[in-house]
Amino acid sequence: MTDAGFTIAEVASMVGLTPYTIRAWEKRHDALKPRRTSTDHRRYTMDDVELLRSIKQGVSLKGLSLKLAVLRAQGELLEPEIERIKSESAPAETEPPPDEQAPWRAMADLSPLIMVVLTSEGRIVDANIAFARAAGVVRGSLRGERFADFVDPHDRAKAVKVYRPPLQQRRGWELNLRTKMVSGMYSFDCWPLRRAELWLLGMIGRDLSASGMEMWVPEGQTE
Amino acid sequence: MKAKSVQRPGRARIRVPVAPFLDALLAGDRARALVLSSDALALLGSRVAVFSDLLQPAQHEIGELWYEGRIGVADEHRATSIVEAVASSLPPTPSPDPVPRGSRCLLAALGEEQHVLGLKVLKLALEDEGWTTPWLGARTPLHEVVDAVRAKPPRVVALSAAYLPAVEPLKVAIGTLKAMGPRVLVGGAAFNRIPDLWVRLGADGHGSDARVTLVLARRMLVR
Repeated sequence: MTDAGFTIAEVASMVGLTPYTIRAWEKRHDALKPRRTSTDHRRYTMDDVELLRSIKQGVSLKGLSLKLAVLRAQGELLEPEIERIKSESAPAETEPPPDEQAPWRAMADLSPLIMVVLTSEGRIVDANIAFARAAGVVRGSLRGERFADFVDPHDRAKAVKVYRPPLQQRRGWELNLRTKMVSGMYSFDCWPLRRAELWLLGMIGRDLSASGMEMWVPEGQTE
Repeated sequence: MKAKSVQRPGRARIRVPVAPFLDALLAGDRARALVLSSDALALLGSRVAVFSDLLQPAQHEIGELWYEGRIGVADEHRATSIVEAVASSLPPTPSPDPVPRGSRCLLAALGEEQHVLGLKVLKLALEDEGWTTPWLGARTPLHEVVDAVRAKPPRVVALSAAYLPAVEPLKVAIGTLKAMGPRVLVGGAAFNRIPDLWVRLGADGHGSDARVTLVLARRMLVR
């Protein structure tokens, strides 16, 4: 149905902008590049529609300039960077860990288990290489991302529960991770961690679908 | 030389007061939310624009705040009830270019689905476009939708789902309904979270908001 693409008038109706504005965003901000028909008319995809909606929401909801909203919608600007630009002081929880923790971090990077530290809002503060590999991104770009976004949609409410205050120690909390690299069940052990005035949540996850699967047995219980 | 200070068509349209509206929702201030939505209607000129540019972004943000643990379930429910009241309070704004008389779009949420705010909003938006909108509402068994389609065939069936514990029943339902003639549009949070889900389930289109759905539904009348 959408193979032929949408006309600029249809897209204007879909996103509540005028064709003039859409063309202006294309020209001035390289916001999108619609396909052209043989008669040189623009044809847009559903992805283009969603991009325009995202730009518009960046302006109206996030209070961004049009330039920043375009970069955000195109994925060139992540939420943490936006917050940094908008705010004079970066939040403490998004700062990199201090140098004295570097040896422990190096050790964490050697582990095949996935390790991730979250704020009580579910934002990633830090992660080991195994988690970054599972997420399919470089570690630096994980900081500030929402952990729940790496969880299968059906398990997101369960993911929210684990980091929602009051933070609690939990064992064997099973979550289905879904990223561009992995899709499978992980069992997480979670601990509240205090750092300065902040409470964070440390999570260590085992891939239950991997060979040599280990099911966690609660302490004091036997199989 | 560019005349940057010139107000171009459409520029004012993207400055919708979403942030103050969101504040009113979080404060439980129904009166203020109603005033802001009336202002937005005056600015935007149509009810569907208010739905898509004010109500839906605010509702989405409420969901995000819940995900991040900044608000509780009670806050979310209160905000949703205000959004519902606001949607019902806005006067109809009939389209200057209505669909042909007798165009029918049947609306339903199948199975155990009880979230129908988006579907209610879509019903109002479709009515502004001149559609006849038989309403089956929440938790509708498939056989009731089949009976309704058989009794008075619509051109389009719009199905909404916020949460899908299993996708197979919906896939079967979509296949059953399409085999009877109407085109099937899907929408709701479940489909917004997983962009290609509608394709996998065999639907004819995914309406990511009311305004997008109107264009898609109108296209379905042409064929």
